[in-house]
Amino acid sequence: MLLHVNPASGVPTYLQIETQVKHYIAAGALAPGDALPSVRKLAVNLRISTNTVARAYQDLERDGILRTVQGGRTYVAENPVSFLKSERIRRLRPYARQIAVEGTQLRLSPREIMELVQQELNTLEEVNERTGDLDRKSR
Amino acid sequence: MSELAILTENLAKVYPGVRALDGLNLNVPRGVAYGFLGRNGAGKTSTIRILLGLARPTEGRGTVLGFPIGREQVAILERTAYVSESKNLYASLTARELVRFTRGFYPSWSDKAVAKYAHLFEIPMDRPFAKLSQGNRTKVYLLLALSQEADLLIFDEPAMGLDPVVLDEFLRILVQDVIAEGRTVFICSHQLSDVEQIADWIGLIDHGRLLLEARLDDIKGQFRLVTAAGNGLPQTESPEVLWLASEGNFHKYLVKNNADAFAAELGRQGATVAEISPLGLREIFLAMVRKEEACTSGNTGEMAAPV
Amino acid sequence: MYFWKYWRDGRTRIIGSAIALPVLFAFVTCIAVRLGDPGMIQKGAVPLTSVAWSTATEVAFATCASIFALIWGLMLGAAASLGEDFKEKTVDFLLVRPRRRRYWAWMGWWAGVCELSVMVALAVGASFGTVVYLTGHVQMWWPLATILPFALGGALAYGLTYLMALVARSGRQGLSYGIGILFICLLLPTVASHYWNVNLPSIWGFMTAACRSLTGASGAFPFGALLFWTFIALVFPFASQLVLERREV
Repeated sequence: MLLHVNPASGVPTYLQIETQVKHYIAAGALAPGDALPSVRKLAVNLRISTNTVARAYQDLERDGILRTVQGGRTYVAENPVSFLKSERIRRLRPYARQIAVEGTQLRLSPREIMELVQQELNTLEEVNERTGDLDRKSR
Repeated sequence: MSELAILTENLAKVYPGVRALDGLNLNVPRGVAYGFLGRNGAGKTSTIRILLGLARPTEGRGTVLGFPIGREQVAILERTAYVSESKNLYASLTARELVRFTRGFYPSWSDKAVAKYAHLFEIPMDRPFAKLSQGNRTKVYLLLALSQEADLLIFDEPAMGLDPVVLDEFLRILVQDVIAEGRTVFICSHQLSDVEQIADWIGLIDHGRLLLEARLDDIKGQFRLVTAAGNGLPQTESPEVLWLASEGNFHKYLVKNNADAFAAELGRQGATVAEISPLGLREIFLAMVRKEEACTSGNTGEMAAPV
Repeated sequence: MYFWKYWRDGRTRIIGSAIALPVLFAFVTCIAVRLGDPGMIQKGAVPLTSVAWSTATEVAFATCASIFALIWGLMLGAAASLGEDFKEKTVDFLLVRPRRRRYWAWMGWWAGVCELSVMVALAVGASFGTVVYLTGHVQMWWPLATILPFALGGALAYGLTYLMALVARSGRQGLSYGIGILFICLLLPTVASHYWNVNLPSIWGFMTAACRSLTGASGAFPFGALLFWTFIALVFPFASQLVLERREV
């Protein structure tokens, strides 16, 4: 599994990991039940502190996206999101706010902003389909 | 067992004419990589010397791994490995002989580790130390420190002279054999990119005091550069603003917390907030220790006033 | 591992001396004995008298051995002292090893005294053996005990120079100070007794008197002086300990 981080970025490393994992899941590259590398292995491979990786995994587990079993291995949770819809909306709202603020500051119209979001959703769906095709072919 | 690997309380060190340390309060948790940053002369070396018992504090006290500095210095030294900035060792001894000399001091010494690191770092074990290049000297020093299997490793410029391949190997070993094992690493280095990669915590020292001590992730999550345009200088007395710079109508604010709220406040005062951008460690460091403007866009601008 | 490093640093010097010294002292003793009584060259020709011993001891033992012990002590102190570590900037590596500072001061002193004693023993043994060889038999074994006063004299010079080198943070400087102070300490008693009729303790006087007593030449063994100089010899490593404990690196 290819995760990568850019420590020089202004974005905290643990957030970068979390974002990537979520992205992979959303794109279908990681399916429920897939194993993730152990904290130690990932940290060593990326040459970053185990504490950073541990924090990312813990956050993802708290959000219900990952699941750690007795032996210590971490997997993508079977039902990645099992919260109430209201809770899910609550969690997405800050990101929506950020898009609204950034888009407005960039002088984009509300319609243009919505189009942008729709495009991204479409791309994600395409990737998902393609990954699904590959999966079907390989079986 | 103490939670903190290193704790200092109001540590002060006065040399004739200069106050090298001035009320230093370090809190280094166990099992983390702690980057100790500061300009030359800020007090990093004085701090390390005191922790290791090479010098005595003028005021204040501290503990290392739970043991009080000074009173139980030998107990500290048994569990601490040190790589000094000036990597001096006995000129006529080879690496093998240096290992022979050093291992007798430490019950926790691992001969397997010596063999492993000698191989990984490609160290010429039978050449006299005086005849080694700077890079090889650093490697020998690292070999001695890592084989000690210490609970705390204090590194002062550990990467001096290391080529990128060896440096990468060193970072990997640090993660795998030290941090992942729950041991603590205390690194002083000007190589901010290396520190940024490996560190969990950052302590920034300037003129003998800590300007900042926090998790690196939190620092990056909180610090923001707010760029705004507006007529006249928007008045603000927020303690969150570390630094501001102006050029004509444009103002940059380096905010250490609550950037969104600050931006909103600026907006209410009629300014247009153009950008709120995150900052890398280098920019944060420069902003905190420099008095003049360190404009990220490259403009020299006018003199900035630290708020 | 301290002794290992001490050996490793000084093995050339130690081995070289261990070979050269007996040869040198045997040679010097031969000459001294010949000067004392030409008839003694023939093995067993003349029974050993205390006068002959006295001549031999005067030159080969008391003078040479004393000088040797003092000089050796001075040079060793300069070479082995922690002062050199300060100069070479390896002292922070050493002091970060888990030992109290007094460990380094006393181990340094102890290792040097051991080496010194071995060298003195070889020198004295060679001289003694030469006299026995030349005269054909052993009159007494006591002369071998002169190892003690000579080693003590050497230990004093060693401890003094070690301390000076530590204070000056340099072997060479320490040697200069050591030579200077030792010179004064040797000269002063002579001057004082000659001009002012005051008897000051003299290490030279002690070594000579002890030597004479043990070889049967004259006098009782100066036990009082032995205690006094042993005490002084121990003051130096203790002072080194105090200096090192207060030193900031």
